[in-house]
Amino acid sequence: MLLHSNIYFSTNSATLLVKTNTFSDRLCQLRFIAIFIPLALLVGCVSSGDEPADSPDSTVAQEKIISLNGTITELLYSLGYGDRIVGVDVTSTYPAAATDTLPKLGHVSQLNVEAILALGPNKIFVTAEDASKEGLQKLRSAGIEVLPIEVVSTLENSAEMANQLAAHLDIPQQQIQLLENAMAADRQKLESVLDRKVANAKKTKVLFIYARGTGRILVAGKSTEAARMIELAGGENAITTFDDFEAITPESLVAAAPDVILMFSSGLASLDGKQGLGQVPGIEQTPAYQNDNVVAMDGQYLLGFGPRAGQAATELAEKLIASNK
Amino acid sequence: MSVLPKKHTIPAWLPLALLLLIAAGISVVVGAYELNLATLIDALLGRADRMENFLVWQVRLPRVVLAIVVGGGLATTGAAVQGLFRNPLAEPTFIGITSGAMLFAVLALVFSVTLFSWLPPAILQLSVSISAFAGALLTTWMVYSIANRRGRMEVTTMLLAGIAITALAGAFTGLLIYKSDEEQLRDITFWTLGSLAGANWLQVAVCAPVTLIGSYFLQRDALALNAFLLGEREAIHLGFKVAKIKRRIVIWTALIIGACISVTGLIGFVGLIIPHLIRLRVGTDYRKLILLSLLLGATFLLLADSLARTIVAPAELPIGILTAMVGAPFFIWLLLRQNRKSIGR
Repeated sequence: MLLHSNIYFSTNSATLLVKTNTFSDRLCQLRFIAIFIPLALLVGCVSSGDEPADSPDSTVAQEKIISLNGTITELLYSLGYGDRIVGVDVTSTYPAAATDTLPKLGHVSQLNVEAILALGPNKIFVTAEDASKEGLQKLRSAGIEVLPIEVVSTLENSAEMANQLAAHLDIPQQQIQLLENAMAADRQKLESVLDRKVANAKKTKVLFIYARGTGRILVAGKSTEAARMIELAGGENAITTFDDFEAITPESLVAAAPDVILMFSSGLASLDGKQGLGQVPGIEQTPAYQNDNVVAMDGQYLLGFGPRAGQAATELAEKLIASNK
Repeated sequence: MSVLPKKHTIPAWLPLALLLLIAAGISVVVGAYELNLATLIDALLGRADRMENFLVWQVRLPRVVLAIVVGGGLATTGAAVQGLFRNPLAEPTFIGITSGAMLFAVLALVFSVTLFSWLPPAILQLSVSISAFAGALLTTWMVYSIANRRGRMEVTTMLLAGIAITALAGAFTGLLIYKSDEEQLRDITFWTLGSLAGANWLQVAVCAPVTLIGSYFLQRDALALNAFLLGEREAIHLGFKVAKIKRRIVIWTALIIGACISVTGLIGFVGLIIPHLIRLRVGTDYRKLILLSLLLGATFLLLADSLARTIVAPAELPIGILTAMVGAPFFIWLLLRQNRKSIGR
């Protein structure tokens, strides 16, 4: 039996109770150290090759910004502040061409404080919710300004965020005005699309599915950002019984009877497209799947509530109307 | 074999202590933030600019010291528990410590946001650690009470009780994970993978005394652990107060592991592999095993953490991934070598 096996302890037990001190013991020690040295060398090599490239003598007084939220990053770019960004978090995906080239600092709750200090930022923008994370407090004590920005799920959100940013950055007022004008135009467009829709009295029932492979499929409850966006686009959230994201049984999926299934493009891709989605139990029986009304949109675009929120709502509204025909 | 005179032998701990010193040196020097040696020394003396002083004293040094303390603590308790169970495959996990810490950490992670969001953020962060520590002690106490019958502690019962309590705590943890939202789930996942990224002097001040004092007491019981190898009855006949010693080992193990993982999250494999490595080299003599495990465990975690904070810089790799990824193949290789040697004989 395993519990009492003494197989491993083959050393003569009695000798263990008296002092032993043989040279072969020492020799073994040394050999054993030889095994550990390559590991130590590996540490040295890896770290020396991995220093982020930094040009200390250029652009002396210029601001260096780190953004730890996708919507803040997107907004900074649209306000013309993108070139001051020296690092972004994992959620910063837009504009892809720009953010792909920046150092990716991982997730906000798992920050590498040293590496961030090495980038030499003087301002770090985070959402108000994330502002108290452990790593950020350290950065604060290092003398870096960590600035919380309130992000809310409204179409006007970005204009409010821009004003908050302007309190910390030297953003020209006309730049913010331009953004507000563009967003107001988007909202007007959305309204005109929704006006067209008034004719059909019944609201389209939309089910938002959050998927990361078939293993984890969650649907959006009634107080999620997804539900908010669906309502803005003139639809109604198919789930009314719970607030948050939850896993759902195939039966409730059929009972929810959504007219449209809405997903992130990345989520749909993780299921291998529409065909894979049909394999999820219950999906095939929904009116949405049977009428091929599966809408996939980019995550940051759809639910980031950034400068393009109005456009995203308009696009979704148009798709919902199209699904009704 | 060698015919060198015995007089000139060096104490067993010396090479490992030197190795630890070298590893500590490397750890202080390397990092995502490049510091040349002169600046580093200036910063150590507090003479560099504010940011560099801060980096060295508040970011890098606490992390290096914490890695030493936690690595040492995990490995030492691993050795002690293996002695207690007379089984080289035993781990502190077996007496329910880890599962309890995990359940309570997850409780804190899930409920701190919803129920205690009015608390100041500094206390909220501590709440996970305090909760995990309490959980570790609670489950260990439960396992111990189940196994303790009229002052006699059955090691087998304790092992089985540990497995049962682990399963129970696992079920509750699963329930919480099921109910958690995406953000909480991510925090939970990070916690189970462990990290030293949050290291600060407060954590060192809590963990270091517990680990050092605990290791001293475990080392004091090393002779008794050797006697355990002969069997419990034999140990009693040799004059050891077995019940008392067992209780002492369980208590110190729970305190050390509880303190360490409550600040770092779960770090697997160190408690199992390090004592084992030492055992493969010096045999099962707990007088050496306890101390040498402490030194090697500290070295191992130091090097693993140095990799964790540099290998994917500017991001950060959870250290639990590394300890298993570096530890497991190395361990398998050693086992294979050991096998080949014994077949060759």
